[in-house]
Amino acid sequence: MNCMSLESFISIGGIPARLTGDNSLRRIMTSAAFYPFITPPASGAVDIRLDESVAETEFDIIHIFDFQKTATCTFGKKGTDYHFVMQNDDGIMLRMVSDGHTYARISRCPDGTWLFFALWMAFNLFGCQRESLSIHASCIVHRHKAILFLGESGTGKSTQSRMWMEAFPGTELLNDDGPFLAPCNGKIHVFGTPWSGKTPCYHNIHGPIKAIIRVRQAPFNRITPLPTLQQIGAILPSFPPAFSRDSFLLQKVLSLVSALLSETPVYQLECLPNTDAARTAHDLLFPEP
Amino acid sequence: MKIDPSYTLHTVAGEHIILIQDAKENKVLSLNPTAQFLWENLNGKDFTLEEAVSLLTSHFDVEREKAATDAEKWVHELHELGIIH
Repeated sequence: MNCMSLESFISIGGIPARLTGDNSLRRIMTSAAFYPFITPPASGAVDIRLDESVAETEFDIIHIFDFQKTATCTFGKKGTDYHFVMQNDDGIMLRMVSDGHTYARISRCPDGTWLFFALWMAFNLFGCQRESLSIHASCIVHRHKAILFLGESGTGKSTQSRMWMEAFPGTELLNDDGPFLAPCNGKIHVFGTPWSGKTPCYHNIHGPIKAIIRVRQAPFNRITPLPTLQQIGAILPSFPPAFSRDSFLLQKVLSLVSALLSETPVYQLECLPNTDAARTAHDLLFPEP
Repeated sequence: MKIDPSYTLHTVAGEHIILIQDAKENKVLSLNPTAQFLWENLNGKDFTLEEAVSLLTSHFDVEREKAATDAEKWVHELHELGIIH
């Protein structure tokens, strides 16, 4: 009997989705992270079914990785379906299966952070078809233009966002960890998402990108443009790493990288964690007349 | 010898690149026009160094000695990276 099944619609990174389920759906709809992304019912939405029984299936492994030291994730493919399994040593498990086009089914799971991460995987898979993907970045909006800070965890992406907000009042944080990039009227826009790392910052807004800045710690502040090859080297690892290990998904990722680089400058900021670093970048991006 | 079929030449933002990925990191290898030409003509084939040299001399206005140096360098570098076996 399925009389408790609920239905909701959300839209993330320009991808409308219909969600059905019971406990997991309630958990999502009542979370501060997802609440801003609820929309009225939409046609053409992808179909995400939560609290489903997802059968154990043998699949070809594409990538195995760790999720926040709480789960081992296995991503793979069988036929046209992508499979994603999260598990820990205590036997807790979450399974997802998706064709990456129209549907995803996610199993019941007691862990909310796993559920949110499985949804991140699902939206990225759907996004691959639409050149809409998550980028590991901290993102601010200054004078109606977004600036993305890239770098491995711990290099100071969030710190640079904070330095801009301190140095330039009116600058706002759009997302601190996982905004989406997606086409909008022929340009690539950055979209706020429910995935913002440790910072609760969930804005359902999007806008054009002024620049992408790779952050490197240094004993001084200096910003320099990156040569094309290094731009690729900076951006590629910022997209979901599991995707660049599947030839089909990699094509989609590379096509988004090409489109992004054709319209967005990429810089390297060697910097200290201070407001002078923000001023160094600001003076180059927004020169005074 | 042969180019490992698990590697693919991609064109991204005008650059001709090969991605080298292991569990930990991505490396992006950029091919110059000569390296790209050799890749496109030898990919999927069993070839000898001599064939690589002949390809260069027959398609480019280049001395045999220079072609041999270029082809050797190409083979050596891709072999070191585990891309040519």
